[in-house]
Amino acid sequence: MFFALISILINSAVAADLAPIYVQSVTAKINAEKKIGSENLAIVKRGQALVILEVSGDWYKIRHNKIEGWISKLFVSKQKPVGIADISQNEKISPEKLSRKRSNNYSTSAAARGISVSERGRGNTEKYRSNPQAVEQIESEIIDPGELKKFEAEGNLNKDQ
Amino acid sequence: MKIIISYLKWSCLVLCLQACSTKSDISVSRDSSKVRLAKTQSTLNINEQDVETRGKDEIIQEVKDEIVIGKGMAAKLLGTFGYYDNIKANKYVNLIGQSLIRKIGRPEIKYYFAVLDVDDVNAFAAPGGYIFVTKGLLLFCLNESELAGVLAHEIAHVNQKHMYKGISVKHEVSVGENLTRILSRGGSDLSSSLSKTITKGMKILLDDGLTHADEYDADAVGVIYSLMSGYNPTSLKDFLARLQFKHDALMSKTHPPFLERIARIQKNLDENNLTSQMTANENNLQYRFNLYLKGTHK
Repeated sequence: MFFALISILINSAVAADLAPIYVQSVTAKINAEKKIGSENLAIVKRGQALVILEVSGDWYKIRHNKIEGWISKLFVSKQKPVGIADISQNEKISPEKLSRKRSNNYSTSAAARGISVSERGRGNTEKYRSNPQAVEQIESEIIDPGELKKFEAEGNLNKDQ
Repeated sequence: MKIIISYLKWSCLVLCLQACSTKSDISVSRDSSKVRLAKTQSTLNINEQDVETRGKDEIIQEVKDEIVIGKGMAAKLLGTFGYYDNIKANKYVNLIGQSLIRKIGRPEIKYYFAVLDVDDVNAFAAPGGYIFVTKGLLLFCLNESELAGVLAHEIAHVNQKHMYKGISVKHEVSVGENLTRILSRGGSDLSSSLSKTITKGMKILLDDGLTHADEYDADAVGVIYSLMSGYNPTSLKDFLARLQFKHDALMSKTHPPFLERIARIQKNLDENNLTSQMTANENNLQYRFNLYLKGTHK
């Protein structure tokens, strides 16, 4: 039984090493050498699975459609990419909500220790002032995709995308 | 059967001892900056392995935690320095930032770019994609590529989770806290320590700085990000080379020495066969740089 357990653990470790990697950036280049400025062999898209042949520093040697080349670790992960949709499926993220939750926990614990309401106050002791309304303003300033496209075209940016 | 029970007992004992030693290492790290740097490095390595083997739900929860912390820090930065009320300047920074992240942004988060109303030359990245430059930095930049180089450096901090890895509650839990988490069926640890975590992050942003290793990493990665969008990959180096002579540059308080950063960027450029060439249209970039920032004054 003991040896069976060890055997299962070893086998899963080997399988993990052989797991593919997935492109995280919108596109990523497969390079001929382990250099950003080296010859570009192919471009792969977000979510593409790649087979690892070798690991060297910040680079993976990979195989994709019979092409063997190098891809920077910056653009890949062993996890499939998680999209914004996965995050927004859940409840709305709000620091205020969590702050309130923390206060309640704090108050409950203070009450349990016999500390009065006035002694519990932590207001006006914060070193950094907060402006959540300004964050909301920034979050609401969404760039129109057409305007971004025009901006990039004027500057000749992101050409190979 | 006895062998199995004995094996399980020993496994539990070893796990408990490992958890205790982790906690004590972190306590030591608070007393010495050198030890802190070493510990951070090893923690990062553990995290990378951890990330590779986690499930989707756990990743989603972590991203949500990261965004909440980032939002809280963004609110503090805006509350402390103020939002620079200049529509054109903010739009310009936002357009450059959004162009950069179109290729290299993390798919699970949105990125926000804005200008802080302060004359010091500085830039900040809060977890979850909240990136700021100061009005002083806009005035100090000579061209769009320099501004893009700084933004790319900040995007690299977000993408590499430099700040989040340093302040997230996950790395400071004790055995007792772990037990509490297990008993509470594994939800986020964040709700009990959000305010503390945000304050810790602000202290790093404004007083202590990230580790030098993280800053060098953001420089190297930022150069690659700039290049990928078509900007001049040497621009960040040019920007730092000029900034080192600005004696009141607050950035020097929270960042490694300018000369060391410049030398490392140059080495990285050389190793990757990168020169000051860019595919972007330099004339158009300069024209709109002047146009968008025309109304930006001290």
